[in-house]
Amino acid sequence: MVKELAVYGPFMVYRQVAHRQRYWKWVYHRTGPKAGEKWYKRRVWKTVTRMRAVPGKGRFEFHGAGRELMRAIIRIKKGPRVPKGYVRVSAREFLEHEEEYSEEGYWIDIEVES
Amino acid sequence: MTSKSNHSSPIFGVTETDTVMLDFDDVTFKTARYWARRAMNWFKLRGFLILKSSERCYHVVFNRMVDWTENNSIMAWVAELSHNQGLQKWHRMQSIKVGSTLRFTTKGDKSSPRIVYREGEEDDRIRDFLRFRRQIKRMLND
Repeated sequence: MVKELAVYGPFMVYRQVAHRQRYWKWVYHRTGPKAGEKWYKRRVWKTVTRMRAVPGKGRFEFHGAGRELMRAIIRIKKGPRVPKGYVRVSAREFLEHEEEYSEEGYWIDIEVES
Repeated sequence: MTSKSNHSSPIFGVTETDTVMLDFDDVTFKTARYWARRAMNWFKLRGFLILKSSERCYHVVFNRMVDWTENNSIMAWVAELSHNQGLQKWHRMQSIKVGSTLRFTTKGDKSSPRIVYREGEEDDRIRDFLRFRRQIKRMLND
């Protein structure tokens, strides 16, 4: 019997995130800030990227027979694997091509207090 | 506003298109039962099951098999007449993804939904829903 199982919730994925970094740069100018000083250091901004865990968005919607659904759940829990967006796929297809539909990340439990 | 996060497991839910399911938020048990009973009688759904998901939140599952068009119509009927904001929002989300989903595992500090009331027959969709729920829960506990 074909059943559909939803796996969802807040999770984090690893992404290259742009980050602004400030550093000293040697600058040459004929008339520097001080008399007789042509080379001087100036603080400048530079955009660099770094790998960070960011909140992801998506969910798995699996359909298929009971045994395949069980295997898919075990695979997700062991990974831990998180969805690449809104993934509606058969459990068999997911088990065969796991990398296509999911990526590395971790599920979180967010508790918001105001 | 502060947020606290730690690693946990995802939320598991069952998605159905041929079973009428409702998610009442911020209502009393009697209100949820009243709307479940009224929908069952009006649409001849033959039976229902009420699960308590958290404080003042209830899930309802009906027994008769329907197609997605009728399912959507029944959900919209209850959402409109009951004036329940939570149910209306939930109905919109289910219509977008074409399938009603109800959770059956824990979510944050909320425990997994538990059965609090049964009425009518349970020989069709309710039986399948409970069987599937039992299978997944047993597997997750192992």
